[in-house]
Order: sequence, then C-alpha cells, then structure tokens
Amino acid sequence: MIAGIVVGLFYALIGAVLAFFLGSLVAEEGLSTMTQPRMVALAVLVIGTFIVAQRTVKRTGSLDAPGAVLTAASPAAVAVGVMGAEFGRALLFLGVPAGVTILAYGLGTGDPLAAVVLAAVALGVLAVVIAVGFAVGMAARRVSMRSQFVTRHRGKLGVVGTFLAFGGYMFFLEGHALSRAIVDPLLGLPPAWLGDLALAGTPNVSASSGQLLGAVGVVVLGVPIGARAGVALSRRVWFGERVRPAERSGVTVAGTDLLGWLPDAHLPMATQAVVRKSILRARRSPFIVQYALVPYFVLAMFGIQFAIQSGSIPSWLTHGMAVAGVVATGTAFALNPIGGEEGLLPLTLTCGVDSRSFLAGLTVAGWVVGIPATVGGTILSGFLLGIPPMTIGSIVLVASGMALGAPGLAMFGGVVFPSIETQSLPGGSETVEPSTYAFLLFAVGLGIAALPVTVAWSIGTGPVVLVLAAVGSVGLAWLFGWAGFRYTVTQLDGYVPDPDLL
Amino acid sequence: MSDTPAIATDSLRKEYGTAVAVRDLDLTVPHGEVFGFLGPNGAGKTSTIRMLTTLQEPTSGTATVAGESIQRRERVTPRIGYLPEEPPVYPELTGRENLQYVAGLRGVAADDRIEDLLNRFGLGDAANRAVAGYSKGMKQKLGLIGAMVHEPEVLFLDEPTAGLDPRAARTVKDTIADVSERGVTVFLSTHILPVVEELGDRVGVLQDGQLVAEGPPEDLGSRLGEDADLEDVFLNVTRSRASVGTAGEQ
Repeated sequence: MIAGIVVGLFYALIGAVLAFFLGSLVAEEGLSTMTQPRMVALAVLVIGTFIVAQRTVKRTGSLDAPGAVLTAASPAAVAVGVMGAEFGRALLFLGVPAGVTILAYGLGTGDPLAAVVLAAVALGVLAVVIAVGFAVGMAARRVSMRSQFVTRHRGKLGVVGTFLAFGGYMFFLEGHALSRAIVDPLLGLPPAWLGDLALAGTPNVSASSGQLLGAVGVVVLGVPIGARAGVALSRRVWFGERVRPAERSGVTVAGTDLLGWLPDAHLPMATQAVVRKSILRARRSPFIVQYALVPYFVLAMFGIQFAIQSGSIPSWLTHGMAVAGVVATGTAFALNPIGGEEGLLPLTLTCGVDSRSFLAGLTVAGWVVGIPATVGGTILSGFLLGIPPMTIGSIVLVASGMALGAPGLAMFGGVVFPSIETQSLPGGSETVEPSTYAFLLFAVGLGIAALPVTVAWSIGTGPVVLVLAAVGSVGLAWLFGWAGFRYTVTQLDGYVPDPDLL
Repeated sequence: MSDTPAIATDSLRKEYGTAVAVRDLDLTVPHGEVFGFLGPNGAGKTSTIRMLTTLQEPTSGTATVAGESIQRRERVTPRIGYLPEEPPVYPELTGRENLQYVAGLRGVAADDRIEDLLNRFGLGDAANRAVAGYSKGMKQKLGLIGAMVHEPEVLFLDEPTAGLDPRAARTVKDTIADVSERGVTVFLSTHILPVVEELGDRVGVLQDGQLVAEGPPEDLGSRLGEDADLEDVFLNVTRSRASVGTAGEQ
C-alpha cells in the first residue's frame, strides 16, 4: 500500500514536471494543429472505456448479495450507485496525481483558467468513460450470459481479445498507413474535439466554437445516454436468465484418458488418480493452471510487439518457448500442493494417501502436460526460425531435462509460501490461486539452475564447455527438484491444517 | 471384531489460545454402534471430530479410533470415512470422476462398488455430469458415497442430512442404518434431533466442550418424564448448563 502510494507520487511528480513544461510551451508558442490533443482525447476515451468495461465484466457488474440488494433498492438506483462508486474510486486513485498534473499544467501556462478548464473536462471525460464503459461491460455480460458459445469459451475468448487488443494497440502505435487511415477520420468527430475543449482555457490556443460545442455535447449527452443504457442492460443482466455451460446443465461431460499410454503398473493407484484429476480439472477450468499459461502469455505479447515492429519472427522465440515450457511444467499443478486441494483438503488428509504418491501425482501431471509443450513449442518455433536441427535438439534436451526437476522445485515454493485464499471466478466457481511469492521462489531456483548453460551460451564458449554447462544446469534442476520433493513430502506428512481452513 | 472400542477418548482436550473447545472428554463408542453426537453451536463437536479424524492434534489427552492412536494418521485414516459439513467434491469433475478420484487416493479398485452406490443413492443418471450442476442434496449424497467407498470401519458424519429434501434425507438415513447393520460404527454429529432419535443407539450431548449427557435416546428421555423426547433432553441439559454458566458469571 505504502509502496504503491510512493510509486504513485513519484509518477505524479514526473507527470507534473512534464505538464509544467508542456503548459509553458503551449502557452508561449501555441498549437499549429489540434491533431495531437485530439488523438490524446480519443486514446483516453477508448482506453478508459475499455478499462471500465473490463472491470464491469470481471467485477463490478455482478453484485455482492444480489438478492438482498435488488430487493432493497430499484435496479436503476443500484446501477447508478455502481457507476457512482466507480467514479468515486477513480477519483480516489487518480484524483491526486491527475490534480497535481493539471495544477502544474496551469502553472506552466501562467493562466489559472487553463487548469480549471482542463480539470472540468477531465471530470467530464471520466463521467463519460464510466457511463459508457459500464454500458459496454453490461452489454458484454448480457451477450455472455445468453450465448452458450460465449459462456463455454469465455476464457479463450478473453485471451484472444486481449491479444487482439494488444496487437491493435501496437499496430496503431507504430503509425502504419492503415492505422492513420482509420484514425484520421475519427479526429474530425465530436469525441476527439474533447481535446480542443480541454485546451480551451490555455493562452494562445484557439478552437472553433462549433467544435467546442460539439465536445460539450459529447459530455452532456454521453453521460445520460451511457447511464440509461447501463441501467437498462443491468436490469437485463441481473434479472435475466443465464444459459448454463454444458458442464453445469446436465449435459454429459467427456472424460479423458491422457494416461492411457502409461503402463498402469508403473504408477501407484493414488498417483494415477491425482494425475487424472489434475489434468481433467485443468482442461475444464484452465484458470486453475494460470501460472503455467503466464509465460506463454508474456512470450506472445513480446512476440507480437517484436513482429509488428520488425516484421519478422523474434530470434529468441525458440529459447523463450523452451523456458516457458519448463516454467509451465513446474507451475501447472505443483505450485500450491496443499492449498490447491481446496475444499478436498479434509478428504485428502483423511483418506490415508501416502504423501509421496500424492505429490508424485502432481509431478507426473506436470510432466504429462509440460514436457510435450516444451518439446513441441521448441521444435516448432525452431523450424519456423530455420534453426539447425542439431541446435533445436540440444535446446529440447536441456529444456526437457530441466523440466523433469521443475515440479519438485515448484512444490518447494508452494509449501514455503502456501496459498489458501479462495478466489471467485466469472461464472460462480471458485479456485485457489497459488502465491506469487511461491512463483518467485520457484523462478529464482530455476534461474539459478539455468545459470551455467545461460552464461556459457551467452559468452559463446566452445561446445565442450557448453555441453558441460548444460549438464550442470540439468543436474542442478534435478537436484533442486528432488530436494523440493523430499521437503514437501515431510511437510505434508506432518501437516495439520489451520482450523479455519476446514 | 476385537474387544477394543471403535472410538475411545481419554481426557481429550483442545484449546485454541485461551479458549477451550473440548474439555477433557472421555468417550467410548463400541463397534457397530450409531453414536449421535449432539450439542449447540460452538459446543466443540466439530473440534472433537477433527481430532478423531486426525485433522487436528489434541492439546492433551489421547484417543483411539478403530484401535489405532489418533497420533498415527497413517494407521487411522485407512480405517475411517469422513463426511465434513461441506461435502468435499471438485465441481469441475463429474460425480463418477470424483468417486474414482477418492477410490484412487485410497488405493482401492472400487468401480463396481461406485456403480452400486451411485445407483442406490439415485445418482446413476447424473454420474457423468459435472458436480458444479448438482444440487446441495446431490453433493451431500456424493460426499457420503465418497466416505464409504472403501468400506471403512468407522464413519464420521458431520451434519449428513443438512439441506437435504425428505427423500434424500431418507436415503441417507437408510444408508446409515444399513452400514450400521454391517458392523460399521457411525459417529453422527447433527442438529437434527429426530435423525439421532431414529438412528442413534446412543447419544452424547456436548456443551462447552464437556459431555453433559450420554446414553440411549429412550433412557435419556425417560429420566425427564414419560413423554419426554430427545428434544426435551437436549433443551434441558443445555439450558441447565447455560443457567449454571450464567449464574457462575454473575
């Protein structure tokens, strides 16, 4: 909290200094064109609306204790209350930094009116963004609750949407001809004129009264129209019937036999049960394995950015896929071995399962999912980049070798920093998110294990040293994984849960 | 069956900081008995069950379950089944997958028994559906099947009929009676007195962590008067204790 405030004040200070110089520059030299203020206005409107809509979909659009709230107040009053709360929250978090920045801008211009007008427009834009964003978010919720397809694939659609949004953002940032062709006409529309209105009080800046009037109209009409739409959609969301995903509506759910290829005799029955359970749960609720998906997500983000900027596939993709695969193998199921049992913890602890067999199940589940991903991703990206097969093979060997030790290392992080807080998911289900500290501890351990091969590869040593370094890294990963596994077994053997968890 | 009782506690005590949840409890439950464990909220019932199921360590005292000390979890847990108040099920898995998981954890191949129990509890048609779509009663029944899938010697049930409709509650009660006839000891904690009255061979009433009444339901009732039932007994012993507590405080 305090760290957040300090960081916020730091950025506010930087913003204030920049705003001061910007104010003095604009007041002295004027603006030859309003393109930039209008682009900023459009960006604030679009990004702000997106953020509010996303919050509405994920959080604010669903009420705590809806039965009690909606029988105590009208849906319109509740919806307006939610929007008001969002407005208040935005002021609470952005008020001070934005206020300081606007004040500095006013001081820079030497005219208090510049700050007053800018502040008033900022408040107006915030109101528009919240009203429209809430309506957009509620519309998305309505579509989601009425569409079997969207309900079933909400998670995947969210990931695709995020990638598209990020790709689009990067695309516009690069200023391609196509993006200019889309943006330029928008600059001639009233929402963009909010940029003109924001600078109306600044000396040496002139805007036509028609455009100023248009911008005022955006606020005056945008807020009530957005709010009315938000209220109407809220009513439909809160009182509407929701289609239920197949898993919940009585439709038979297909099983999986990912272990069919494993000879049963080689694994204890409890281990097989844990592997099957872990993989089935992850397939049906991918959020459970979010930490396994994070490295791929980060990789994709940087990859998209690189591809848009350079027009080529990043050369680091193969190594990135190898690292992501190792991380995924460790974090998929082993990062919270005790807390991850969730409501089944009393059962797990009283069913007589041997800790070693249970933890082996989490380990094997990680291997079953993670090692094919590591191998497949590395080979595919290597061929895409035209890397020699020998090099690809070496990377695959090192990565899959290290992946074998990753679950043990991850479960060490998970027992040192267990997580037991249940988190609600969209759709009403719940899960326990592993601790970030556990992930960091795992990442540090993995980083140390990877150090020999990384250093040898970076400084370009000869093949013998590189092979030795690779063997060293794999050996360290195995050692850490084995030690982590052993430690977790002893912890689980003597584990007595907190009464509040049961 | 040995002469050792299914459950025996000796001065079992559980403290949380300065609060005493269970006060030197001495309790004996013979094999094959249905023991109704009653008490108002906060009396210490759940703490007692958690200690007996090895989920919590006692502050002092000892206990054996199925002849094994509760200090030895690895010996006790294969012999017991436990249904907590909130049935332990994974919502993403189907009913059958949940039971296969439980059986797998316990290391028993129980596909036939799972099918038999699913059908007996009326869950056969829902067995391939995700548990997220089950009603409270269906989850409760699934949890009970999970607790019995390995044919335990002692079954600990915490509010097994809470939230069930009359038909589902009947199934649960019939099952308790059935497993008891087969020699399984049932330790039944509930607030629903008619369930204990109907099924319990003996009843223990816990108040402030102490056993304040114990015996067959009809005997306890007859101590109060000809028409007294278990509800009268419960209200009487818990009220008199509460009065003592109040008087003591004054």
